[in-house]
Amino acid sequence: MTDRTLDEVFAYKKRIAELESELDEMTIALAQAWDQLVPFLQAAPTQATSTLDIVPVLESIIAAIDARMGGVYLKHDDEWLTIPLDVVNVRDFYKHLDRLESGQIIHMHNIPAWHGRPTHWMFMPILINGKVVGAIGVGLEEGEREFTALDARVLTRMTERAASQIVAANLAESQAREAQLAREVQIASLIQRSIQPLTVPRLPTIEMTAHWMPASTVGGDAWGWVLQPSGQLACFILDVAGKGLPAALGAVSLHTALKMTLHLGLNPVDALATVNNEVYEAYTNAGLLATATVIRIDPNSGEVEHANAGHTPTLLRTGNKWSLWNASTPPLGVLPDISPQCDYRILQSGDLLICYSDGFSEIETPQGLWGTQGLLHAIPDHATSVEFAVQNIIAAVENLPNYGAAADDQTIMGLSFL
Amino acid sequence: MELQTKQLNPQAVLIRINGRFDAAVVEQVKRVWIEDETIHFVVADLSETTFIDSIGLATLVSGLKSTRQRGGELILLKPTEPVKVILELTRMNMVFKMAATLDEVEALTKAS
Repeated sequence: MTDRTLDEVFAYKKRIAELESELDEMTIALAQAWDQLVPFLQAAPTQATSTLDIVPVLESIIAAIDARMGGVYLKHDDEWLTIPLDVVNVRDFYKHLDRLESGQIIHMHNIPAWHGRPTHWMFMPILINGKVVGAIGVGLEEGEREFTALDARVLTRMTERAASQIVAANLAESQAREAQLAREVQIASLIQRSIQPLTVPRLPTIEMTAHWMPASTVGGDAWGWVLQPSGQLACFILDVAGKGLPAALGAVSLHTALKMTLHLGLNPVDALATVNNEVYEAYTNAGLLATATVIRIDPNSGEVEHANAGHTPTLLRTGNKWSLWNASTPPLGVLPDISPQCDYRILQSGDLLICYSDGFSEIETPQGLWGTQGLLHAIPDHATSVEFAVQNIIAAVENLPNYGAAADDQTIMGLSFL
Repeated sequence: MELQTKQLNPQAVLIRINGRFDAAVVEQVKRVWIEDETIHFVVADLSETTFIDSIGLATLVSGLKSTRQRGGELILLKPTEPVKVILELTRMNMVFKMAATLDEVEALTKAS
């Protein structure tokens, strides 16, 4: 055997000894890690009732792996929930999580963490009945060190043990969120109800009626009226697109703004243009839009001014003939400036004006949407009272075949000149 | 409802909304331009859309505002007759650019 071969043999033996030593150290470290985990696991409630209950589990994993940070990531209705919040807040991060497969640890590098510095993450999917429902991840500062095979093993075992508890916590949290949502819907409903007028004006030459029927889910319909300083009656109907609290709050702000402008004596065109200007930015930020129709009528002369921003057509019956006043401009909140057109007419005795929300026209019937024609067909030719006409529309809706609960708010407002 | 997306080029994505365009689908549609800020042009293919409600319209407006802020545009491709009726009744036809073909879309994106 040459000297060179002997040197190589010694080198291999030395390397084997080093590896054995490292293996011993790893074994000791593994034992120590498990020792560290036990108190944490005992401290964690066996039946988690909120996501707070899984924080000890997460802390135990971070401690065992000697990581800098960690998070539990749970998939809920196509969205990722994180515990704690905002450990990492990068959209691409969630795209990677979407690709998690069962039993497979994944690594992600250069992920900016909450402190702004790049981090390196290792994730283990959480499996329930073989399906990926989330992941536990631990993070190190980028370049600090690499995750070891032992780290991966600890993460795998801990994730397996914590899975059912984490899912129980997620379920409890979901139920709490649903209860909170139900409370918010109730508040939204109260808000929406509070802005609907309880009475109609009593004027000798004008009959006015209105009906507001909220859907089971809160929408953004509202109506209102104002007697202007000039003695003219101004009234409006509005519909904020959307459901729940955002739509209800949008309806309240729009209702208030329209009432204010009409109290100040503005005509329908200026009222809509002014209010649009005011709400445009807020509606843009909130992703809202609203349709609205404003009508002003002079009780003495029957002179009517009408402006419609994206709302369903107003039905106008003069003599025996029906015509439509369509929107002349897009809904409020869509464009920064609008210039609605003013429709103008002098009403004669017996003429009718009816405005309604899309909760009527978009009712689904076996023949398709009920539409404006549905409303027109529901009004008897001999109807001279607007209350009578509106009652017939409501009765027709209730008698539609297979008609159940309204899918959207239904608001209808009518005027007739006596 | 069925939703399909197709990357037309690095800055443009086509999203086809088949069936009803209402509250059930808006969150998925919004993700197209919210999750990827490099998207400047969104083509909403409405050729198989049977109905659009006010929430669907609000979603398109939200996409239009987002893309225009990035110097782009949201273009409606081949809206069906029921959708056209809604766009006309609400005067939203004054707001959106509309195209009958992908060639027209390309011309509109170049002009933007």
